[in-house]
Amino acid sequence: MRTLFFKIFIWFWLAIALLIAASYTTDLSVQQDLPPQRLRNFYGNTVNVYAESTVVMADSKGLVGVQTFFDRLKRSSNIQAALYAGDEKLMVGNLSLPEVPELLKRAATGYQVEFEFNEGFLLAARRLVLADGKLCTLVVLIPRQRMSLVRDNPKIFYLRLLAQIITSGVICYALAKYLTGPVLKLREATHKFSHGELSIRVTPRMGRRRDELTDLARDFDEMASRIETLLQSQNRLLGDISHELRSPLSRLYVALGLARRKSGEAATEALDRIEHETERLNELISQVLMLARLESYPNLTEAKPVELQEIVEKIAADANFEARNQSRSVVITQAEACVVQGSGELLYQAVENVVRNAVKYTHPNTTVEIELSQQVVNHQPMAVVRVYDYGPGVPEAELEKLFQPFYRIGEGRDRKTGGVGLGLAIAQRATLLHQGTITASNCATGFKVEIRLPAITFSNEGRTENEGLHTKDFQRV
Amino acid sequence: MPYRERPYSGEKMEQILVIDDDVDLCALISEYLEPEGFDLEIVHSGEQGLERALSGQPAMVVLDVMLPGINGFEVLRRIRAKSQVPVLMLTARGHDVDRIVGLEIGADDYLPKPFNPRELVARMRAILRRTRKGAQLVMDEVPVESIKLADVEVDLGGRVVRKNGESLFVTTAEFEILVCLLRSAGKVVTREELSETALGRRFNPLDRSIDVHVSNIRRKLGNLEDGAERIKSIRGVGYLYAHSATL
Repeated sequence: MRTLFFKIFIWFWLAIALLIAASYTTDLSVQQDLPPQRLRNFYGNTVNVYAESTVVMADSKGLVGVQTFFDRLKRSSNIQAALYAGDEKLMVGNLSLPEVPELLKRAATGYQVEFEFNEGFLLAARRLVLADGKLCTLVVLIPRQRMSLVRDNPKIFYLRLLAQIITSGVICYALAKYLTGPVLKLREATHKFSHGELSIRVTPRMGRRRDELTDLARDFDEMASRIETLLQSQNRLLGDISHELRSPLSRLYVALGLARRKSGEAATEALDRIEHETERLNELISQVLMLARLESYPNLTEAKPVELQEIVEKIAADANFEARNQSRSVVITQAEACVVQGSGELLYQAVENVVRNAVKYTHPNTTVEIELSQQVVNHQPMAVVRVYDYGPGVPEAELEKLFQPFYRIGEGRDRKTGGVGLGLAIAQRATLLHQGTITASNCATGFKVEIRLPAITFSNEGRTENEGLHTKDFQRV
Repeated sequence: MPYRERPYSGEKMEQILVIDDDVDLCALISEYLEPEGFDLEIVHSGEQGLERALSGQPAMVVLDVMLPGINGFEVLRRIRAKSQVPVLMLTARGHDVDRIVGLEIGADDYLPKPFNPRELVARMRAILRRTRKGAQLVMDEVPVESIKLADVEVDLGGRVVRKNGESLFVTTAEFEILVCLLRSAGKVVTREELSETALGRRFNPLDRSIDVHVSNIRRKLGNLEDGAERIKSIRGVGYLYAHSATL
């Protein structure tokens, strides 16, 4: 549970639960009593009742009756009482506490209840007039009640604790949801945006909320619409360039055809040269446009299962056909059935560019070797294409730069080999677009380029007659 | 049999309608194509092209995708709403989506621009050959064969495909592919074979034409009566027309 929601929820709830626990713990250990004023109000009435009862008892049964009343009080409520005469002489009961004389003096001033608080008890005194008109003072010793819910009513205590924990849990949940909801929406939007859904916007999904997060959403929307506009205009520009550059080329091709028809033998060589250069120009335009497209799109727009083996075989056959004219050859040393999710056209370009590059640099009378194999790395099947050539290789320091557009090693040498210096750059961009990697390295016999692509599925044995019928795993092409 | 009446004469030049807004290119194309035996009519806008294409005169239409006003796809869509005249689309290179869309709407073939004029002539001839084939059979009074398999009947002379007696429109390429598949019903036909016999060119794995044509045929004919797939794709090999005997 590494989500922000979970973290906020858990931490806030934990904090509140600890707070509740802490407050109960201090409650239990300090055992705070009710404040004095509330004690006065509470016990004032009680003492008044005792005083009236004493008067009644004294009237009906005399001092013996008062003694009985006091005894019963002691037994039933653990409250001790004593009755003093006006001259502070003890009449009934016994309370030999040092605070008593001082309290009696205070009580003598009127008929109000006077209190004296002590650590373990409270003393209260009140004057009263017996039926015979005699002034007396009732003094009561009440043990102080320890206020504690746990002890007094555990059921209510635990119910209250539960209610507090649940309430705080609900509030924390709502808080966490409230805080992380917009973040989740933003994340979902950025994810879709990065996968090419450029028209996605977050603000409409934020509702009427207004805070820093909606500001962030608004900023995201602004950024997204800017990027969308930029990409659209770039794409339109690419389309226009492509059209404008190719229109003259189309005319050139047809004009060339006409020239060929009208001219004699003598012009053939020159016309061939024109055709060759026109093709090169066309190729260059295609490659520049392709590179621009590859770089402006973060993801493949439509991916289909692609048979790498079929592509590699076709490339090898074509490249071998052309290489034979230069006394070189291309062979496939290993080809396992691999299916990659992606664009067949881009994958073809990627592999073809690498193979053509190898044919260009391998020494005469040597063979370029292509190897297509399957590997499983961390449970992810990988299709690996390795292209070996027997050429001079590349200085170690320049290996990285090989994939830069228009990069050439040794300006002079490349001129005669042809090519525009974009092949490997395109191969790299196309591979990256398929979540693959491309690496170049020198090996003992020459040079090696390796393309690794995540494969969707493949069988363990080579293709057989029957295997072709298992079509259900594959999307229909 | 409305298709049998199409006039055919070996001497008469085929009238070809070219719809492209590039005036210079059109002039060059017509200069190149006329000695090859084509009678060219050139228009530079989609609206005009549509009107001419539906006039019933052209034997074939060469249609550029990028047109001012209504674009090539829209022109093709409107042509197909009324006419079965073969159409060759000129597409921009590097736009594989364009090519597939064109074929799906009902183009007979496509050629990416810039093209070599020799290639254009070859493609045009291939399309014309396909349309002519049936008419030729009728002209030569060869007993016209028809292939019937369950609910589907293909009349090679009239170049008509019927399902349960109801005729369906298919492009020339789709017709050839369907005939190929029907002739070897129950057996796998490779993409290479289909490309060579039906389209008249070498197979290229990057060229999805065959797949688009087959998916069009599938769409038009639907599944078999028992709900099974009519044409099965065999991964990495080709296609198979399901024959009840082989099921």
